Amino acid sequence: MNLRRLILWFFGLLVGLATAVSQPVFAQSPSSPARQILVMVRHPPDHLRPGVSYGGGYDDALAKSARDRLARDIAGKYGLTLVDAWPMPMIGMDCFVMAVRDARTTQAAAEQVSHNGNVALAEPVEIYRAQSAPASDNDPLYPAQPAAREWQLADLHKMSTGRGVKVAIVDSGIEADHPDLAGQVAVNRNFVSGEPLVSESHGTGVAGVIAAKANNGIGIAGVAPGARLLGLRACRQEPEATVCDSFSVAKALYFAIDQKADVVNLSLSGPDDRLLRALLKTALDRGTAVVAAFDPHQPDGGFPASVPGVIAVADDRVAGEPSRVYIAPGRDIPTTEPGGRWFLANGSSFAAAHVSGLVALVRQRKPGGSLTLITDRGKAGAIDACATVLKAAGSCDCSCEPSRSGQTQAAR
Amino acid sequence: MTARASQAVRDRRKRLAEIVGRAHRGAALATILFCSAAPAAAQVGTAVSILSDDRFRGFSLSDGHPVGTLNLSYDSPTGLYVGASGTLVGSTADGIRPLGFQLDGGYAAQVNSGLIAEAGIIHARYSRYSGLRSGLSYTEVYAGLEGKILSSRIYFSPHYLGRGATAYGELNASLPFGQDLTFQGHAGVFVPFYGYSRGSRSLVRYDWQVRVSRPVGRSTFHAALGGGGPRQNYYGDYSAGRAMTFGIDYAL
Repeated sequence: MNLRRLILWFFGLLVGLATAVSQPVFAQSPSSPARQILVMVRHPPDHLRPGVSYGGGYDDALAKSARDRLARDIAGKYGLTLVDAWPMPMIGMDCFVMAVRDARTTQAAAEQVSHNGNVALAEPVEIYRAQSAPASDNDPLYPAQPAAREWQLADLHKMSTGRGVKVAIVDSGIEADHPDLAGQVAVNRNFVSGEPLVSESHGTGVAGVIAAKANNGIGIAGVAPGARLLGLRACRQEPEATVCDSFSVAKALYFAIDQKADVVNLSLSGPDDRLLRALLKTALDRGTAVVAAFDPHQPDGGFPASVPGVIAVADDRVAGEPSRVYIAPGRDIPTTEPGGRWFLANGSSFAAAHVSGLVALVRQRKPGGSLTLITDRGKAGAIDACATVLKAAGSCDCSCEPSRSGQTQAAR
Repeated sequence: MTARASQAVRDRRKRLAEIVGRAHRGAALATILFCSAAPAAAQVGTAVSILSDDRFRGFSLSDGHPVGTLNLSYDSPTGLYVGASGTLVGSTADGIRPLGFQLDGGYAAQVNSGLIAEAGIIHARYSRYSGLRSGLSYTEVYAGLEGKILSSRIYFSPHYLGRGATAYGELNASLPFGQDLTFQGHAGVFVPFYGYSRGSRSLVRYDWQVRVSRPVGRSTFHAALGGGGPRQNYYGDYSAGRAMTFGIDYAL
């Protein structure tokens, strides 16, 4: 047998063996996120591994082996099943999802695991809901957008279209080839485990409000038609609501930070979560504007709207919010819908989307530094979009005038 | 060659094989110790790699033959780390033989959320089956910076592979493509300080490599194209020039 044949035989055998034994480390039978916990383990810094490759790094086999072994040990010790893993070196953590298969509550299981010396944080996977009211089935598409009147959208676009600003939408799936969105979605990625990327109503509607194409003769004009959207599917559409779990949201949020998104839109609300809070802090520390929907059913507006530094936005139906909450159009908003259609959307999800678009307009004209949103003193918390963009742009050949009665608030 | 000289060479080879064999047994023992006695919050990694050719800094260490390597690592959350690896080489002439072993240790610290600084030491020793002269070894200290995409390191050895003092600088890049593929690039420059005679050769050498990898479960499949120059080298008959290699890493 010559050397070439020996090498081929050798590699054929090894490829076969490796494929045969390359079974996924994780459990195959999915469990409900409601029965899962997140386990965060401190991640040692990446470094050179001379025997493996020149670069070393996070994805090398030794690092993978170490992470998997640790996760299996923790899962085995506490009677859990390893479901999924996601590296988060940016915050120095490895994130594992483990399912609770017995009668324990997820809270109790997380409490037990948190006493392990290897574990930095353990908590139940939380559920978040998109902040939209049910769409009206029978209403015809209202021909005018509230932002066109209340925010003088045409004048805003004379100053800025959000050109080149990256807006990450952590939501349900976006129909990227919708005629009013085609070419606007730079990245469309799925973070919901075990499901394919699909087009869904809430995410597609939020994307339309932010960045639907303008002056294309169809549909609507987004607030920031020049923005580049990162569609990050972390939520799924269910019959009654659009829901997300904290692990999927964390993965999407991490991706948005990693991709240096200028704005992150979180049109969702749920319970406080330490991992998401840590990621939000990282995003805010890096100068990313985070816009979240205010939940009128929660005393503090729900999480993540309640996090300091996050721009909390309610729709104009809500009255008497805390002073830090901004008001933006959120009722009867014509926007994009899967299937190449449009529909009327309601809720603070879409108010938040308006503000994400507005922040993109500001960021085009003023890429760095503090972000200032100007509110109309006469309408508690209502954003004066014209004055806000004019302040960033300096001047414009339009009917926007500096707000004399306006109240300036540094959003971050 | 006289009979006495031949006997001396055989004895030397036998001693070296014993040394390398002991190193492999030591590595196996270390695996067991690592896995059973790791203190809390430490991470222990074990992996095997199979490569069609063990290429290092533009040269083949295995004389173009396929190799199998067992890698061990121990990472403390403090940033301290140690590692060990042992490699076997296969050929039709000699069968499966020990090629060499490598030990390393160091310290890595996160400078900020996007940058890691590291410093460490590597010791490597090779058998005659490596294509190098028997018993060649080197010890290097290194320091470097590692970012999300780029990493760069400088190495210094006082006595590199039986010759003089050398420095080696490298720049590496790693770019994900889609969700599964990663492209990596490497460029390095090897600079001898003393102990090398110039003769007609250029003393400064360069090498490069481009690599693509794809994880499948616990395995990572990779292919690389690399080369270096000038083609003539200081150590005799281990092959330089452009070469394609294939490999599999399997996380145990």
